[in-house]
Amino acid sequence: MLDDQAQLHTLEGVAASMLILLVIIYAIDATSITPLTSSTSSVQVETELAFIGQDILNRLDYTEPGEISNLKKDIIKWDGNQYQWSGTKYVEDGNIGNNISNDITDILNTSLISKGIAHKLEVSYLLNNNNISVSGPRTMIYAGVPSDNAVTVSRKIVLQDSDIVLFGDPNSTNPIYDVYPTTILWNIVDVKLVLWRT
Amino acid sequence: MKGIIKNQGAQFMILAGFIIAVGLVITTIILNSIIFEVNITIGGGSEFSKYDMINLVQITKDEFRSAYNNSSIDSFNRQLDSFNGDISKIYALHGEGIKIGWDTSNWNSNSYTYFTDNGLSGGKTNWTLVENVNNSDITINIIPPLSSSFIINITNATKYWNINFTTPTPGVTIINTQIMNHISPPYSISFINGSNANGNYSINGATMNGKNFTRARDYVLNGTVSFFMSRVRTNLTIPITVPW
Repeated sequence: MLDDQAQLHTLEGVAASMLILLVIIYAIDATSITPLTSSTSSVQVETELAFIGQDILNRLDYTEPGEISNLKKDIIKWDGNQYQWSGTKYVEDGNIGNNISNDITDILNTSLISKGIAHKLEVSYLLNNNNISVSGPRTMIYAGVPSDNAVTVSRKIVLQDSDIVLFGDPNSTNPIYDVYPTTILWNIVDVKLVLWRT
Repeated sequence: MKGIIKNQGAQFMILAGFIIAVGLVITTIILNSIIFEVNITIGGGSEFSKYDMINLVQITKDEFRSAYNNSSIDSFNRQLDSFNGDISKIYALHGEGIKIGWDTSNWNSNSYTYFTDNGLSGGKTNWTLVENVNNSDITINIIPPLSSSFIINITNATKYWNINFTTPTPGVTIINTQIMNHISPPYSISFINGSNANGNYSINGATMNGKNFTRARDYVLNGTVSFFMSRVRTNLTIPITVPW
């Protein structure tokens, strides 16, 4: 009980364990700073990806008064299939003979693929099954399952009957249809672009 | 000297001080991490980004302009009723509430806009409508009162032509041939002293690169966009010029 040496050894043990704890915390913080983890540094990566995504959607949805945006045009002309990057072009899943080339794929190719940024494009739209509801996301461009720190940017577009008249009836396999045949409102589509580093 | 070396109380004090210092460092690091993560989580969950807001305002403007082309206020109201109900379903997917309101009193009472950039009396009074024009027809209707002169200014790199209005002028059209007699393309079209006059206008033509354009304005309709989440509620009133 009066052994001062034992007390000193105990205190030294506590001090050593705290040092070890400090080293472990430092090591965890250091090793977690990678592009694919949700850490302090990846906030910068996510912000950068979000800006790129918004710029892409802004560019696609820009239009002069009285004209229709490229984003609307490509959504109307979409055939409803899912496409993947093959190395040279976007080809249909399970049918490499069918490929898609439009303003959306052009800008994804030049802005994202060249920088090694994986991406996925999904659309949600209105359904009219006796009452109006929203469809689940339907994938147009697919590049695998996003990582934990993927960012999503979205754009809502409103399609009118006049937009459809301009480009002719959509492909019969396009899942988006006229939810209000008696009005000139055709459908409302939520276009979501998911981006992540590979 | 021997006594000092054997003073184990001092060693205890040094060791205790060292432990407290290291403990403070560890506590600070852990607290910092917790506060950072909590802030990121709260910020990410509640943020309705400026892009979302711009997108919402833009599609609301587009819908007003599309509905205006229905040419009757009843049709306009019906279309915006559908839009208001459906847009809220899309936003509800993200846990966001949306409500769109509109006021057609200016349309109903034929209260035309000022010829300023945003159609309001306080808007920019001297402004350019379109540049790099190859050909165009300008139709303009200036209603009383006209407080002093209002000018349509057509300018190219070397010359300009001012069309000066000093009295109200109902429905006049300046065709492309008239413009070409004074100015050669490419030229730009501007309004000078736009806050002096009210009315409506329509300009149709093509730019030097062959792209058709339209600039037209009849009324300013007030749209209200209400946006609400669990922690945020916002009401925006936006003046929307129609047809463009």
